[in-house]
Amino acid sequence: MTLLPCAFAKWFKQKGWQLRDYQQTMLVEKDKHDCTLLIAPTGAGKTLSGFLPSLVELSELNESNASAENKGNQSGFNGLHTLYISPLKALTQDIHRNLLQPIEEMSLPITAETRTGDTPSHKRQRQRKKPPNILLTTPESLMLMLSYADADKLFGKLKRVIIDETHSLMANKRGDFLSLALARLSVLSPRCKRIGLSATVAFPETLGAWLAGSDSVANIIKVKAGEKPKVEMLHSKARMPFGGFMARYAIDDIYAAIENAQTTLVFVNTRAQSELLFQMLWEANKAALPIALYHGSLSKEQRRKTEAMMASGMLRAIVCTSALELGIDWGDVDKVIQVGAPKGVSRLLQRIGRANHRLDEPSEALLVPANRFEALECQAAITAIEKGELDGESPQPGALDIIPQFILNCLCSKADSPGALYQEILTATPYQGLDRDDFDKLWRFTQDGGSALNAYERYQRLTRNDDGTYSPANRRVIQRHRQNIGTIVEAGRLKVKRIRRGNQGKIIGEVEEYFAQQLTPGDTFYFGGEVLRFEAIRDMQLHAKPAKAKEPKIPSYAGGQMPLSTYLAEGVRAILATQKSWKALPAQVQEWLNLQQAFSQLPSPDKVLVEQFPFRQAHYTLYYTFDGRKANQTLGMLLTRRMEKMGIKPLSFSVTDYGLSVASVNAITQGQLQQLFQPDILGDELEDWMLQAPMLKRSFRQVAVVSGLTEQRYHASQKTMKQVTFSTDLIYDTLREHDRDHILLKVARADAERELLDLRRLANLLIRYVDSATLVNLEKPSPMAIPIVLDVRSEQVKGAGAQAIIEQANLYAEAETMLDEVRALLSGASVE
Amino acid sequence: MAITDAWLTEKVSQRHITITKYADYLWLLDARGVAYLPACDWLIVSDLHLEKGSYLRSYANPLPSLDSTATLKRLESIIDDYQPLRVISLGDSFHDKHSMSRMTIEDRQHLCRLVDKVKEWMWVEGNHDPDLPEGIPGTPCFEIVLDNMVFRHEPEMSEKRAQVIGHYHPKKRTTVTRRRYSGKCFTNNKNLFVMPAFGQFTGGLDIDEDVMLTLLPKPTRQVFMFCDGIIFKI
Repeated sequence: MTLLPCAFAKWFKQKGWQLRDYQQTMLVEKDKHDCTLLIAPTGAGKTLSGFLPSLVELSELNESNASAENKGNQSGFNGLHTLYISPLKALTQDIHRNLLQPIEEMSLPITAETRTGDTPSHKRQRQRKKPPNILLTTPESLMLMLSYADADKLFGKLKRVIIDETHSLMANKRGDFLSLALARLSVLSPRCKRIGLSATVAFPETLGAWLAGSDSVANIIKVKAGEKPKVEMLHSKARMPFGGFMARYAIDDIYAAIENAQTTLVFVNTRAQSELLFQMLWEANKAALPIALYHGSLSKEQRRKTEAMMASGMLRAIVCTSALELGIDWGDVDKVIQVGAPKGVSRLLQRIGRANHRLDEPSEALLVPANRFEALECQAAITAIEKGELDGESPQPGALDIIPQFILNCLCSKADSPGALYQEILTATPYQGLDRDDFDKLWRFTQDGGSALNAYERYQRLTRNDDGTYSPANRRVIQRHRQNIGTIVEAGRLKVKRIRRGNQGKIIGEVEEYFAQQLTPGDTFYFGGEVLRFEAIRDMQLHAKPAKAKEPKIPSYAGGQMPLSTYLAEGVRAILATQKSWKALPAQVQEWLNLQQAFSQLPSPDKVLVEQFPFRQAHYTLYYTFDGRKANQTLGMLLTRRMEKMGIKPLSFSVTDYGLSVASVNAITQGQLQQLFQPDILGDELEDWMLQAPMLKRSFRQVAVVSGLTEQRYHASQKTMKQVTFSTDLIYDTLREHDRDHILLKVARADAERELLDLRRLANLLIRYVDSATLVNLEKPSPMAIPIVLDVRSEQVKGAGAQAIIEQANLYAEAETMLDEVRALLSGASVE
Repeated sequence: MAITDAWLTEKVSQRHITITKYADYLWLLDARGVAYLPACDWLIVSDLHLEKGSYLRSYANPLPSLDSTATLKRLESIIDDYQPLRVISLGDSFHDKHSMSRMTIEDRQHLCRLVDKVKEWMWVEGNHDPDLPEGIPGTPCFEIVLDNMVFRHEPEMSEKRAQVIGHYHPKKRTTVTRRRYSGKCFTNNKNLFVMPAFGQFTGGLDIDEDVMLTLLPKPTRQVFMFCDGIIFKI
């Protein structure tokens, strides 16, 4: 045990712990690699392993210092030694607590502090002057610190940077953002080493490449997974619903599972579902078990309270969303219940990993499908876990709208030239293929807004210095930039105030702006586990009173929709194709599939099944694509466009992860279907639609905010999303008209293709199934169609169909009769 | 007058225009947001709010200043269709008294060209533009009387004659067989006719809001709403 200084060895012994093999490796090789990626299942003591090299190094430095000269200053190492970055603000607090424990128990002279958006300003000031040895922070706060003029001093001595939950930063904007911040850190402190901590991923090498940057290679340490989790699907005796999120049928089973376990985490996919499920559980709660609710819309205080209660073991169950998916260690959870579709294998494993944070015992999980389609998905996920397979995201080029923000950020700290910054950006892996031409355009945009906007004073953001470098034009530019750092464009939100009497009450959380706008006084909805009655919107707050009603009038507010992973989609297709595998499914689901086979056909892997039937005074066509919500959404938009051209008069469409249903005035024929379901739909229709689409405006909004074209925050006040939308939509139109090649239009388009449309997946689908879509005409919806057509959230199509409806409803005869009178006037006038 | 029987028949059948009667006159309501009186060859348009964009922009809202260009362009194509004897701009034609100084030269020339196209252009004064900016052709006035009908910007409560007004920017939302439609609208009863706002950046006031309901109570009013280029009665 020469590795560990004796204080550490003693502490490990006290705790009854042993240094694990990989922890040893990390210590031995701590100076060998520039970049280390530790991949370990949850519960393996990852976070401690990440900090161990730093703690040992810091305490050694101190010891040698102290023995040389007994200084008054306790710490041997002055300044920032290690930076810890976590994607979740809440996680930094939690890790901080866990980190202070060894430091205090070994009485190590090491200072460790957190710094996030919640840190008070006097503390931030002090941290700048006298930084702690270890700082725990978020990507956004790091970027902000990098914009300070003394950033080089602050980070100059940095030895290590630890990136927690690295897997959650692949292939998304926040990850791109952090990769740029890391590139900057490497310039300020070239010898700084990177350590990534990650859950098990499908492609470790890609993640390593992301972490190391384009000019380095990561040393990957993989910790063998512990026992495979025991995952079961609920086979309920109660009747399972066809579609929608209707977990009510299983509520008694879920409750029984909670009763049998010590502590349970119940995961659902959206906030609205968590509210619903919580309500149902509460009604079933005969034994009055302490059950809590946790999701991202609840107020911070409320969440802290729940966390504290959970940590002290006072709760038997928490109904939660992905907000509890990452990091925070709950200790004693012994069961995880996933209600609703798992959507992805990796995500499911992450959730299951929340149970039983010990490596040697298997985690236990119960999957509760909320409808019959989801049962297929659950089965596919269970099969994948048994085989030890994961779904992974492939890397994608970095988002370009972050570049202007990054350019400005660097220049706030120090004047620089485009060439030097370009080289710096190339070292961030997502940006290694960045085109110089694009970069120059982005630079130009940062400088003065580009040709259509450079007449406006506020877009003059950079000035050129005599030596060819650039600086921010004035202090206001710097201030505005610092207030708006980040990539998270918040959907407009309103605080929810629970009114007791008069105007007094407590803030209990937030809802989306558009949800609030559809409410009229008197409407009731679920929030924070109770039914509230909407009163009014005052000063950006939604005022609501507790209502007596049991069933809310407005069922739910939408939360994030998670797309079905390609891998699981394949799994579902495979199950449908092999009848043998049906045996594992609940009896009701088998019955449902048999019925489908008898009534219509089963979707098969080598063709796309399309059903058509009359329903609700319209013709419905159903495409079983299994390619995820986003791809289906896009397909729906494009199909209805082409149908409009062909005179089929589409009315609306609705999507699920499994399929797309389109309602139209006229029915389609097999011949028309062949014309519709063609890859060339991605040419004409897509182009057409992209140009006038609200979709592009939607992504332009995000791009505009991230790139600094418009701000969410100005001085202390936050703009409502409606205000942001209003101005960005207008700027979009201006650019379209006067500066078609503006770089932000290009960026918005790339963004839309990637984030909103899932074009890659759709193109694959259309090419794979060209000329192999089969039309089946039916009298009424097939068993498989019911879940999809019942989905209430349908997208309406503007055009001839919509006009047809309103024309039918419209009194037209009146105008006709008066037309004759006008004719008389007209002829009278022409005689004149 | 330029419109013909054939043109009108086509427009009505496509729901681009509908016809109604008010104060004993026949009115053509165009889904582009204007009204036309065939009997006297007048075109009525209201609340152009020219240069509203640049006004908001001067309060640090990053808006492009092309709203006037767009408003004028739309108005021109309508004027070309009807070629009326007289155009009545029913108040709030200019967003504020400095509008003209902010307007681009091109837009200003365009506006003058438009006014010159018609024989008589009447600028009814509104609360936003009590004084007509200098150098703009056309005739300013407070109100215009036609038989038993008065055209003015804001309603006079004591008025006995039928009034035609702007000012309120009426708007309506409706649902037909589970589909939602919303748009600006013309709305009237026996004594009051409210024109929709024509300008590019003009929002709207729902006609089911209290202010509008006291003006035009539900049982007495009729509503012609337009969206996506078609107009229909609700």
